[in-house]
Amino acid sequence: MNGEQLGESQNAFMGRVRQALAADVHKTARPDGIGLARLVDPTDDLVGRFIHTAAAAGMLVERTTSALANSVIARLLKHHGGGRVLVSVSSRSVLAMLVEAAAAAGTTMVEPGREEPRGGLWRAFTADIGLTDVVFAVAETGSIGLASSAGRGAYLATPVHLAVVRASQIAADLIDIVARLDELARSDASITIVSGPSKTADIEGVLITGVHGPGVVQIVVISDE
Amino acid sequence: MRLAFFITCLTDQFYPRAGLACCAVLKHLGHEVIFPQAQTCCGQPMYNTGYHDQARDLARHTLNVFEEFDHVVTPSGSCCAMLREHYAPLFEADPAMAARAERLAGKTYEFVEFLTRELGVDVAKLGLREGRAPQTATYHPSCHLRPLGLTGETPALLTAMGGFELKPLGHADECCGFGGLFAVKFPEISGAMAREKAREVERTGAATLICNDAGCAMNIEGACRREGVKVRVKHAAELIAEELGLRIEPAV
Amino acid sequence: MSATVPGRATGHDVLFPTRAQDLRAASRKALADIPLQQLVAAATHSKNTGRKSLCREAFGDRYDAIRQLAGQIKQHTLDHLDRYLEQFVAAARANGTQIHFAKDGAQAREIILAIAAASKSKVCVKSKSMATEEIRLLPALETAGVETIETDLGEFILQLDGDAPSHIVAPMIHKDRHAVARAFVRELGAAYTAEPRELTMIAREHMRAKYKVADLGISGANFLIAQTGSLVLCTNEGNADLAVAAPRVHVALVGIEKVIPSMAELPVFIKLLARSATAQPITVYTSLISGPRRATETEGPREVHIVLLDAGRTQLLHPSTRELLRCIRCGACLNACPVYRKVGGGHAYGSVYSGPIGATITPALRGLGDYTQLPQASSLCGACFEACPVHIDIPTQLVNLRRATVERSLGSRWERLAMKLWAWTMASPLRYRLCAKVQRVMMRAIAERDGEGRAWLSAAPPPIGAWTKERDLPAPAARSFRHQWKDRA
Repeated sequence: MNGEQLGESQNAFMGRVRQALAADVHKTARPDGIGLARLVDPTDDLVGRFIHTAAAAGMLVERTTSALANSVIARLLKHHGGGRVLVSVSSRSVLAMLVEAAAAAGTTMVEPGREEPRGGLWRAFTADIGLTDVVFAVAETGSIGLASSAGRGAYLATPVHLAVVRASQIAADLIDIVARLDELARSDASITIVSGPSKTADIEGVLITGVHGPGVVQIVVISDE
Repeated sequence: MRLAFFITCLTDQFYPRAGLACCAVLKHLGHEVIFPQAQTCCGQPMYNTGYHDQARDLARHTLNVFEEFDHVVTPSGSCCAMLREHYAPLFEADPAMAARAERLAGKTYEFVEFLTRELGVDVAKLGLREGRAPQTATYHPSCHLRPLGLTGETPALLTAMGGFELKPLGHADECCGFGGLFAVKFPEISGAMAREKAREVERTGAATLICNDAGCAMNIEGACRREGVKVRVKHAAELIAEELGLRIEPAV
Repeated sequence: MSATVPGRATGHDVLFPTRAQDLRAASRKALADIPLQQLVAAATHSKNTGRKSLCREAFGDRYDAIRQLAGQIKQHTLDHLDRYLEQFVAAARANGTQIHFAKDGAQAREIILAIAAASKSKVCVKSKSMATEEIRLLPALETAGVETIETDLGEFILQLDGDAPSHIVAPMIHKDRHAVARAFVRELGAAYTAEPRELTMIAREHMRAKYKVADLGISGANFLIAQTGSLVLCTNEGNADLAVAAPRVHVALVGIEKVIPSMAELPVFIKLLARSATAQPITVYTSLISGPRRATETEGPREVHIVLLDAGRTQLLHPSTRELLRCIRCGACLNACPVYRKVGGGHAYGSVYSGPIGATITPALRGLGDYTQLPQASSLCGACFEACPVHIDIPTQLVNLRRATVERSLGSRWERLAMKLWAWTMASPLRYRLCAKVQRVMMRAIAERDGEGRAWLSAAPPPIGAWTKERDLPAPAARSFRHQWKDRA
């Protein structure tokens, strides 16, 4: 189906837009003072700041070193109930470590879906824990960045999401990830900035977590400082 | 200085004491206060309800009355905002009038603003009366003061004067519900807002409510009276005049 | 007990009245509904207070400057909307997105139904979108045989209960847990529970079953990034992300005003949006969708369609109302508005868009004639202007609509007469003094004196009776300022 035959022609549609702008005498210039909105400076203690804001956002955070990372991840997987683990990574260099940790924790690996009839997401629905790396992190908001090339289910659909962040990936402020977002928007169909466990307060303002996305987000920060 | 006083229609008719207090204080500070008799109304009710031709008529009249003076002082923040923010845009199609409106906007002041920012009055040096019992008071900042950036002036002034136990008004920056004709077009909503304000005033336990806008004052005082909340409503100028020992005739 | 506005039809009909909307009548009913008053007040107060404290904490005294910056970015984009829209379309097509142009709601429905038909979709999962409410999409999909499930918890509950959203961001602030419990028993056959967590888990299980079998996903968008052709979705539940990721086909219905120039501007809006909407620094999920799944990806939609919606927006784009299109649908103005609170939320406005922003855009989108009361129901206190993250001067826009109402003779004839007479009287000092004297004499004649000798009216004939029904009115002073000033001279 060539979907673009539906609706009005681009010309007709844009014609109305142009007409509304035609009589403009004055046009607002594109503001360049975006830095006014900066909240965190790159010279701050980014790891410390990230741990603080991620925890404030309702995520569990543990800090460790490269040497101990494997055992920390294994321990946490067990702590969060083990079971079926879906591993998804953006960087293949981290894959081996995660697979090893999952095995050490005695968990069962769920194979990432290939050509499932309705998309591979349903595999994630059967997993207990999604185990991922991240493509960036942000100290300002305690956020982690996930990208679809790693698969989406491990951070959108499992009850628990365990994410491994390297200290060097932590940017200071949302302003500092713009170039990365531009890059990822070319390579990946979807980028998700995760800043907490799934939640709602629609029923009388009562806060409930784990509505659709993970109810528990566990972050492991690997820092050798 | 030679100051022109813009009494504003509501203050003129309903709270003359507030106007007299402003003039008495300004005179006490050594200024000459002129009251141009031809003044009427700033046109705000017409502007707010969309009758802009009529608002322009009144703006023209007000400009004619006041533009010869170097300073115009008014006891009402909303009328001050009308002159400062809306007169020039009303004459968008008439650059000459717009220029006149801009000039008037540049020299129009709300009373407390004039005292604190233009005159830079140091209340400690005002010569206030001694040995008075501290009064409990609370302050309602009318909405038009916020865009003018003038909500802190009155509390600061009163605190500096001393002799007042200033109780913070809960939800102070919530509108009292006056809104001009809004009060009679949507009386049930307006009344509910006014009653909430009256309850907040009651909660402070203050004997005096300081309110510098006649519209807000009429509305809140009327609601307090209906709800049985005992409170005196005064313009900050009246309090300053009292503290200075100036005689203001009763407004009855 | 469900605190719906009594006497109104349930379902979305309440947002699409067939007669001119009588906000005053709706407000009278809402003011008498104490549970509704409490629910709406609690919800809006906490979010408004939360917005102020979070923004003060984060931005300090830069808050106003940052709102103005965001406003300027939007204004600039709107001033060049032709260029940015075309840039967006080209970039989106380059990443594999299909773009459709809908001049109005009917055409948008046609397009989406055609996509559903062509993809043989039977089940659709939908995330929250005011635009889809605006065009009444759901009934059209249902009629076409596409089972459509709202996945946002609040919208899901409203859908089950045949009710309509009452707030742009928090759709069911007018409903309590017991109403939810009853709806779940009735529609899902669930065992009765009014415990919010249990209710949420029931909804979650029900919706998960649908995600697994859904063919089609429908969403709105918070932003469109012109440079990369991406759409941005900001949610807390994760339902929008699953609604995008699970089905084969995704359709986003987006108003043309959602465009921003590039990724560089996005952080400004992200920093303002959640603080303004839900009193949190950022939403849990901020997702950027840039087309269908890439060749190497095994999850995600194979087709992504974006339906760009006009439906009156090019009308609003004209210079005098253009700033209204800056709106990022955060709901901060609703939370700040004392009138919105008193009328019990959105239903009273009879429009998908309620509160201050609704009062300004609804007359343009749906016709001023049917909505003359909306711009009048405001004290012009300016709380909305102070709350707006994109610095829209809503009070001035309301006054402009009141002027349009007068110019088009849509208001009351009596009011027109009275205002002209009043202005004529005020324009001359002599007439002013005469009128003041008449008013003083008449009002003091029917007034009662209080203990201090001041005169008050507790009852009066119309039009003043509208005032005295609710509160007392001071009579004019015995001697006006002018009198007393003259005597001193």
